[in-house]
Amino acid sequence: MEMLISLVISSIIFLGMSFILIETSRHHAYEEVKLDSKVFANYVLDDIENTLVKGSNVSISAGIFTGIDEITIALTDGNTVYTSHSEHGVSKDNNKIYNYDNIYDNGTEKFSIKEMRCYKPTSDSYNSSNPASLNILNSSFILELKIALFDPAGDELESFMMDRYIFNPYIYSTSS
Amino acid sequence: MLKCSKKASFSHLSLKGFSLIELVIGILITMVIGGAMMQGTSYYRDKMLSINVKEKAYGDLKNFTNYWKSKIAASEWQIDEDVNWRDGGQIELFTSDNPEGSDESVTGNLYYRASKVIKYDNYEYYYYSLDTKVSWNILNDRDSLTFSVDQIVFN
Repeated sequence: MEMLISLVISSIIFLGMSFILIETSRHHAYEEVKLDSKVFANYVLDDIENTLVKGSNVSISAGIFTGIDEITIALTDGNTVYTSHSEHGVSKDNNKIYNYDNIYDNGTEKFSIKEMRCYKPTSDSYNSSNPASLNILNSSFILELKIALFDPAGDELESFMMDRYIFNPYIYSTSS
Repeated sequence: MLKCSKKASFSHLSLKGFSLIELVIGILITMVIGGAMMQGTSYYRDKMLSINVKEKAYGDLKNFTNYWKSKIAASEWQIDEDVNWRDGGQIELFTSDNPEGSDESVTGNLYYRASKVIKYDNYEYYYYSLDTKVSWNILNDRDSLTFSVDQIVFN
């Protein structure tokens, strides 16, 4: 009888511990993918920001069907275009922006850029008592990325937004 | 006779199973291991929350810094002698989506300050040294991130 009781208690504790271990490792795998996706998103935002602040002219055409705006930045050595790409989500002059391991063992994508929006801010959200002038707002851009995370079966787990406030000093000094 | 008695006693012992003390010791050891695992899991979850909050704080502070850089570049910085930290508002760094309603959230406070740096080389020139900071309370601990950048004024 004691043997049976001890076996039942040990089994319950063992099953509980196994459940915690499985949940923890599943959560860990998910958080690892999420952190990787944030590094990826920051890299893409940094790349676009670094190009955008150097541009003498920036034109944006809304990606109505793709959800990804086309950003054309005029630089001294020609134009750089960020646009929708069937394979890479967003491309820079039709090239992959970041060479990153983004696939599970079965070949499914871990995360991808679902939306990219770029627009000029219409109001000052940081300092309402002494807001930035219209010249600053017209020389600034808000870049938003929506990143979607997928499980190995290809089902979407979550999507999140990351944004960047970018000021272009060249556009400011030539327009003011 | 003695041999026979010993054999009978051994046979009786082997059928006895575990005693209560043995059972309690076994459960105690399992509980200690289980407790250590729970502690590890809790530490891991806290660490992940801390990393996620810091990631969000980094992104928001970068945007805040870019905004104040643009204000200085456009000469819209209010010049005074006060170089203490100024309040830049609050930001939401984390909100748990608890379906039972007891939402947890981490709020960050933004601060900024800038000082004019005048240099005399072949000619006199100046720029601003801008510091931005976000600080927040998490798990009874205080954490912060600070950026320091230089910005010239475009005339």
